[in-house]
Amino acid sequence: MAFVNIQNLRKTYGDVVAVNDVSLDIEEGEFVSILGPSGSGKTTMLKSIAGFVDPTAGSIVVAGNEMIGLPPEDRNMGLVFQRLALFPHMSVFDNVAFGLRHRENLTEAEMEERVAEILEIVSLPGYEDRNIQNLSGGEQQRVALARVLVLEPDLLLYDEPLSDLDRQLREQMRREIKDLHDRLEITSIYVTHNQREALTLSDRVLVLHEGEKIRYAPPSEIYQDPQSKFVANFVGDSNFVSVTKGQNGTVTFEDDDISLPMHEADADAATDLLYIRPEDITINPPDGERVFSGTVRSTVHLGSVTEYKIEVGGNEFLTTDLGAPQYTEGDSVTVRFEDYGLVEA
Amino acid sequence: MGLMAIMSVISTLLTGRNSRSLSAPAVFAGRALYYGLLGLAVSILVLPIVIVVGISLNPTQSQAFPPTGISLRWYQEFIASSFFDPFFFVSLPIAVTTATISTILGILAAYVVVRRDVPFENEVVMYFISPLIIPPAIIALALMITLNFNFLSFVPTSAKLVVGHVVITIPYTFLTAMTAIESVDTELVEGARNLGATKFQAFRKITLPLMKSGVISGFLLAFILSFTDSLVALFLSSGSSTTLPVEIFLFLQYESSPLVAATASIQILLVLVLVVLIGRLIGFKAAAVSS
Repeated sequence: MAFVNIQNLRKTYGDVVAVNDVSLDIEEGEFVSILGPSGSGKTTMLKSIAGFVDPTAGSIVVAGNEMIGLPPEDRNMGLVFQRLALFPHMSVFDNVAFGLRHRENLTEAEMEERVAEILEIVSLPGYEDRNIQNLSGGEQQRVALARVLVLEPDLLLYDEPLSDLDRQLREQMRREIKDLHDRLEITSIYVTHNQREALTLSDRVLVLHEGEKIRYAPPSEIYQDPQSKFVANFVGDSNFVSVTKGQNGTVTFEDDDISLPMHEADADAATDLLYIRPEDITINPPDGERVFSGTVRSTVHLGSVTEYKIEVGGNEFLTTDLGAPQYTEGDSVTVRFEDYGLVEA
Repeated sequence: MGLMAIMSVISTLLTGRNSRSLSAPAVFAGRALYYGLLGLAVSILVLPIVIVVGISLNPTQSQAFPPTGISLRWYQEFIASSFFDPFFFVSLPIAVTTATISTILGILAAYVVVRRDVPFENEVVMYFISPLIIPPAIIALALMITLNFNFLSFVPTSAKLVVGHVVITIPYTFLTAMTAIESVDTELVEGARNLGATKFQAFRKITLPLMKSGVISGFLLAFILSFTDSLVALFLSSGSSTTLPVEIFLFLQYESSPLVAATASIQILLVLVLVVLIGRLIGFKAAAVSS
């Protein structure tokens, strides 16, 4: 059995189904993200695992032990909260030693050693006597990590810990979480609505939508083969076009006479929705096949890339191009669809 | 109507809205009016205290204000007077006991209401604050009848007074505790439990320290209410267990002297010292910042 084995987890609040029979296996040392928009049930799932929500049905087995029925304090898990939940009336030392005091029988000297060790790991050496309120956002993040890491938990749970940070700090902390995981290899579950975090941190991503498990696969697989419209749209951006499948292995845009050859993998797909990633559209390609003419409708400079909306036939396509804007509204351009696929509506 | 107009001018000045459309003299007049009213309100609150302290300093039987001289005679008399025992051996212990019991009960009740799914939550809250709604005389009368049943005759009067005072102070300790518990983020409690603390340990180490300022203010309110209560005490007092306000009340029916003013001044001083001391020792500010 996998290190973490969740079977048919279900949580209802009255008529509302927050988590609908979700099953999940996580191997020891794996980093798994639960990705979904707000209200998708991802936090309910995490809190069920941590023991703060009583599931309506299902089982959660961690390291061979059933967790359902155990109070949170008896599950050897570390939870990093969105708002960190550091104890404001305690020093850094007391925050980090809090778990050691309750979970382990250590002498004061041993405790000091363990705290110093873990503060070293999260790059806060000598911070023991600092006051929580005088720390910067990044330092508070590290204390929150140290507080759970010091207990060497079976399972590390993250509840959107980076969502309150500004972009720069978020990127930095994301890298640090990744580094920590690579070094300590603690099995981790990371809840987020940020696809970038999910894709960059995880070995596997569970995509949740309205309490349902939509997909559970490695990030690259999810991105390259989203399979459903929801995933294609939520994980990265996508353009969608209704198409009709021709007999000769082509798909034809509805209302337009634009035809594209169909991928072999899509031959049996029972759907008529085509997705095209913005980065898979080339503007003004050198002459070749599958080139169509269109008109630039809008240009947004995002710094390293420029985002265009280009009307081709009756559809508008979002596309990105590296560098500063080269085309302006109204320009006539040609486009080529480099890659695309069919997804379930 | 006039008052409404004045209020609207004041609010305009306070919020700074439209102040540009007013001429400078109008703004000045408004400010003067505002600070004038503020000063008046503060003086009305402080003046009686100043007068009481002033009267207590009279060297003679006269209750003149301003005092005819400065003397601590009535403070000396207080030590030997019939107020001394009720002050220190009846009212004070009863107030401390009342405040302690009321604060503990208030916290327990508030914890259950705020943190647990209680059926009929609104009704439960109403129940605990009902002593605020029922006229005090009715409560006092009900307590007198109930606590004076024969089978309760073994209960000392002071204990009955504590029971009565807990009833009238519980709305205050309950409400302050409720607000204080609500101000403690449940995620902090979850954090503590995730780190291995039981429910009770999490309450003792996280919730309780963070709601400290609420607990202290509830305790102080209960203490002051009990210490100054005359109504319930009047219905329940007997013999050796006469509280200070009742003793003063009885005294004033037959005599008058600056002794009462001196006693009141000591009472005021005691409460003042208490508030400052607790503020210093435990720190309202620190407690407020942390929550």
